[in-house]
Amino acid sequence: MNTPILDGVRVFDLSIVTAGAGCTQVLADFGAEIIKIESATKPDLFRGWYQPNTTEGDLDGSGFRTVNRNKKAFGVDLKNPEGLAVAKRLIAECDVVVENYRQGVLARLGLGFDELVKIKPDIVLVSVASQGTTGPDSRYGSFGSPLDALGGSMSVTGYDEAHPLWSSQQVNYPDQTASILGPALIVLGIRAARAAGEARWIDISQREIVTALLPEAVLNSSLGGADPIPQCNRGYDSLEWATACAGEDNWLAVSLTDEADRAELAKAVGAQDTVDDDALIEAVDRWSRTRPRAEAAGELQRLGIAAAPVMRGFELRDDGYFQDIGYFQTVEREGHDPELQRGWIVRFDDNADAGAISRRAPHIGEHTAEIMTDMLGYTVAEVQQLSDSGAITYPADSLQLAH
Amino acid sequence: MAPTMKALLEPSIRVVELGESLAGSYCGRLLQQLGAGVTAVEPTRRSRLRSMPPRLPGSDVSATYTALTEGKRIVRADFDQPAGRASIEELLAGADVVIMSGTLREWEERALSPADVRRLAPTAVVGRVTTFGDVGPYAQWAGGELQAQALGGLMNMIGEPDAEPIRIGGYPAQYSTGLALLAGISLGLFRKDNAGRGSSFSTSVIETVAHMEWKTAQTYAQEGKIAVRGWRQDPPLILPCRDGFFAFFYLPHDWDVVRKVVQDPRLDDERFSTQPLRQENRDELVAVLTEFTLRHNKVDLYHLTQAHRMTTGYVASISDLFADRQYLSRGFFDDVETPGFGPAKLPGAPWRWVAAPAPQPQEGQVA
Repeated sequence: MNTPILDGVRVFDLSIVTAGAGCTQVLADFGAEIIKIESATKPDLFRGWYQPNTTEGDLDGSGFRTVNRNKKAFGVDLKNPEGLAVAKRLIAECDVVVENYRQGVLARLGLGFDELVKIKPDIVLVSVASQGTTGPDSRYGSFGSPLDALGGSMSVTGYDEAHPLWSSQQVNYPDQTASILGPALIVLGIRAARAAGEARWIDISQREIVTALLPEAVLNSSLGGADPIPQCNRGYDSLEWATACAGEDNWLAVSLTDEADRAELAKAVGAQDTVDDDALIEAVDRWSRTRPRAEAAGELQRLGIAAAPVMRGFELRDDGYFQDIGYFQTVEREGHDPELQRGWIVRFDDNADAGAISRRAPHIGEHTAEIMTDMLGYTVAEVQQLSDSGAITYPADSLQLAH
Repeated sequence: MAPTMKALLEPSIRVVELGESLAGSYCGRLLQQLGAGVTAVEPTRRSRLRSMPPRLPGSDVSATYTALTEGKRIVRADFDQPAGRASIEELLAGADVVIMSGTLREWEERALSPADVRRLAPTAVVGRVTTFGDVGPYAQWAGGELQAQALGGLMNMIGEPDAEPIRIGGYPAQYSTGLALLAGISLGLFRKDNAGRGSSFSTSVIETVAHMEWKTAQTYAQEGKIAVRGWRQDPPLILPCRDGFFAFFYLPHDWDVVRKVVQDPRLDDERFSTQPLRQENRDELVAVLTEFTLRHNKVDLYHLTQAHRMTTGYVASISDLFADRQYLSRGFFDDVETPGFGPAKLPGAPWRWVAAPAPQPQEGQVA
């Protein structure tokens, strides 16, 4: 078996929720050693979010378990001077620090870029920030969703101009895009720092990512074109909509790009009028209402018409494509049956390079004791003393287990 | 010390784009913004990208094509012509990164499979992207952005519970897949540095969409709970204001801040005292808050509420963004020259970096 791609990369991971922790999930999937930093009093908020159950303690949150798989956890109070000293010893052993705090928090903790460089001269600091680390609004907070509004995506999303919509809390598009671009920039940052033998601070603006993904709209508006507006499911210049199918809340997404498509579709659904959009849509709706969405999609696809069922996320687990590529991954759980989690960001052809999941998400401080003794060289007595003073935390029996 | 630089790649990195897709082309644009030299191979006839809407104002020229090819070298060559073939093979021989758009079957028909590309460019990172995959039920399907957002589960969660599910506007699924391609390429370059060898990977737009809308599958897996549109409506509210719309986001524990900002005694009412009650009396709450928001402009509301540490946003049109103080301060937009159309703007790179030189060893110390 080949060595994982990111073998030997060690990350001091202060990131929380999805935008940050999703970035380091990708790094962990490809073999980086991610050490998740939390304190007992300020754990990652995400531990209790998204349909938490009440049987797994600090692993109740189902979303948390996905974005923190393959990570180790280190419990340390960064506001405690002894805790901060421990953290600095750990940073000296790391290649990367990732954070998505509100701007200014890291520097106030005494872990700003200038301080980090003193601890580790070729450190890579990555700040996944709502609006970047500079500028008058850099200290403004967000939980992802408002960035749909601030980045311009909401101005093109919604039923019509009077009903702009965000991507929903469930999707939280600005958090997802950051967690896909983030790992790329972190890896490129490590390459650059190693090549130059000097530190790098990478600033990622989640808001700017949202706008960056609208390049044609920006170009057109800058040339005096009208700003695009929400127009339901229509594309920039094509007739597109979702039509209801048999059953409850089942939909088919249909796109017509040219006259030939319109004529084919009209024939298939028995529409008299192919010119009037509303008449055609109505005829298709009548046709689809009695058909299951997969069947309707198949019928239209056989005619070369772009049509696809609107799938529910959980249905993908039984979907032919996602099964064929082995997308969903089985992950162990404590006291429960294993669960399925999302797969890899991309699939490497050489299987041994692809991601692997070797451990479930960690409890708070689950690996503190072993990292303290094995990596940082503290004695068991010192570890106990630091725990007694509240500087570090670990589950009750883990110090014995570490030794 | 503030991050201002954008090129994280050495300028000697050479990228070749083969085949055409929005995902592949957007990834190439990101690599160009990162400092690499990017060459896009374009067919001599019927370029798909050149037909992607929208058009530049008052013209037939694709704005999408123009935006995505900024800063790239374009080579027009056909796979099935000997001269085109030769120039493509020459490009591949010097490539560090190859982005291939299209299914395995399409590339085999062109007699240029990913394995062929690996032979021609043995140390390159080869990333390949399809819309619906190479295998499985959708491989030969027709469709684009809307179908990908539908199949990957994203659309299902956006919109009102009793109405048509809707897409995110623009090409977010395909461009996000460009981000995923970049993640794969970065991993491949990292390995090329360390192990000295190339690698290849693939992805699809529907996989990236599933990666983004991962919570529904996860939630169901654990609890058997089925997420439906609008099921977590509280507390974000999208309210009209004097000049547009305002994203009025507050956390339940911020309620006192909301009362302080809005200063309307009706909000002190028992009916709004807890989050479940505010959800129950949502229509009345919206009515009171809307009276407030309608008295203000969206940008003013944004700064007013953020000053109280509420995590709000204003619904920015594209033109609003050109005047946004944060974007102006960071110089986010790039000024470009669009031939025949004059000066224009494109989104700049959504990242910056700064270096800190390693401290010099003191006299008498061994470096």
